[in-house]
Amino acid sequence: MKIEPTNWLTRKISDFLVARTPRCKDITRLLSASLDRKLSWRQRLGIRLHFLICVWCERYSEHLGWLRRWSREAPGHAHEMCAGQLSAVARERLKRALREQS
Amino acid sequence: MRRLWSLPLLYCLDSPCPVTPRNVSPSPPSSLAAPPPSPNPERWVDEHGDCLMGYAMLRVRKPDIAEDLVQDTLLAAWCSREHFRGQSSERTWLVGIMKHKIVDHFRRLGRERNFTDLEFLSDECPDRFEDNYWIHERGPQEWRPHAAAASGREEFWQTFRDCLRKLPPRVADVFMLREMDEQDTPEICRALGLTPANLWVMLHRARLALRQCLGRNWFAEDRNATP
Repeated sequence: MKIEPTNWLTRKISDFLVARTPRCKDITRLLSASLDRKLSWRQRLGIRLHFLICVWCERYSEHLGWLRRWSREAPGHAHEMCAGQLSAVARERLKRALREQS
Repeated sequence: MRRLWSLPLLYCLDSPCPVTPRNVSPSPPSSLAAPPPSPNPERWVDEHGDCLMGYAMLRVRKPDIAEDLVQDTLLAAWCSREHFRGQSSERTWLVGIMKHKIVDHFRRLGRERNFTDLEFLSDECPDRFEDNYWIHERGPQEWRPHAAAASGREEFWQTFRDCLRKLPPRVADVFMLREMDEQDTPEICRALGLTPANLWVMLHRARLALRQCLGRNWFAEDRNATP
């Protein structure tokens, strides 16, 4: 749900939320922090209320979720990301080392 | 305690490597080879070497170090081969071991490196914000419904890799330790000798930059947004 300032009341609510919730830049910082540590209830509430008036921050939050999901999947997609191919020399060197040490 | 990165080492202690290796004879040409896959580090080199090397290169960027990591990984895998139960594919298992080796590597290396990414860290996408609010046309655009299908596309992972490569090395290291290796933040701070505040700034900037890079290069954000 988004609060659109279409009439007197919603404009007042929207102005209030703009004035009282953190600014977008701070919200992006908080959203990142929320992936690494637990935020206070005040910070979480600030984010929730801010989302009522800001679709961009809400999307940003969603995008961070995608980033996390893709990062965790990435090691499983190593073969799609294969850039440093193993040279024939390196391959032989590896095999020799493994023969000696295993 | 050090649950994650000491795992392969523990496996090794569990089952000491045999002195005489099996399968020392050179393997037959791969076109003829169709044996039941038994653990064999040389076959691993042939079948998974490129991928392990590719992943290691993404993470450490230096061929000699990447090669060492591949070797360490395969040795650790050889030592713990009895623990491979075949629930996951061999490659997933090997990549899992490599993750521990990478964390080990950064632990050893962490304190020797300099903090060189100040420029990146001082700049917080100023062109996207005005007066600390998103500029509407330049803010995050809708990624649905394409986001869900992205991970099934090979080109997506290349874009993802290219975006990671654009991060300053140190920031990329921190981000990947956190998000790919799923290390907790105190562990990364200890390993790399960072303060928590420092680490949070680096993670935040990495996420901002990655989101922007993927938005631009995969989701065509700017193309849709700018007139």
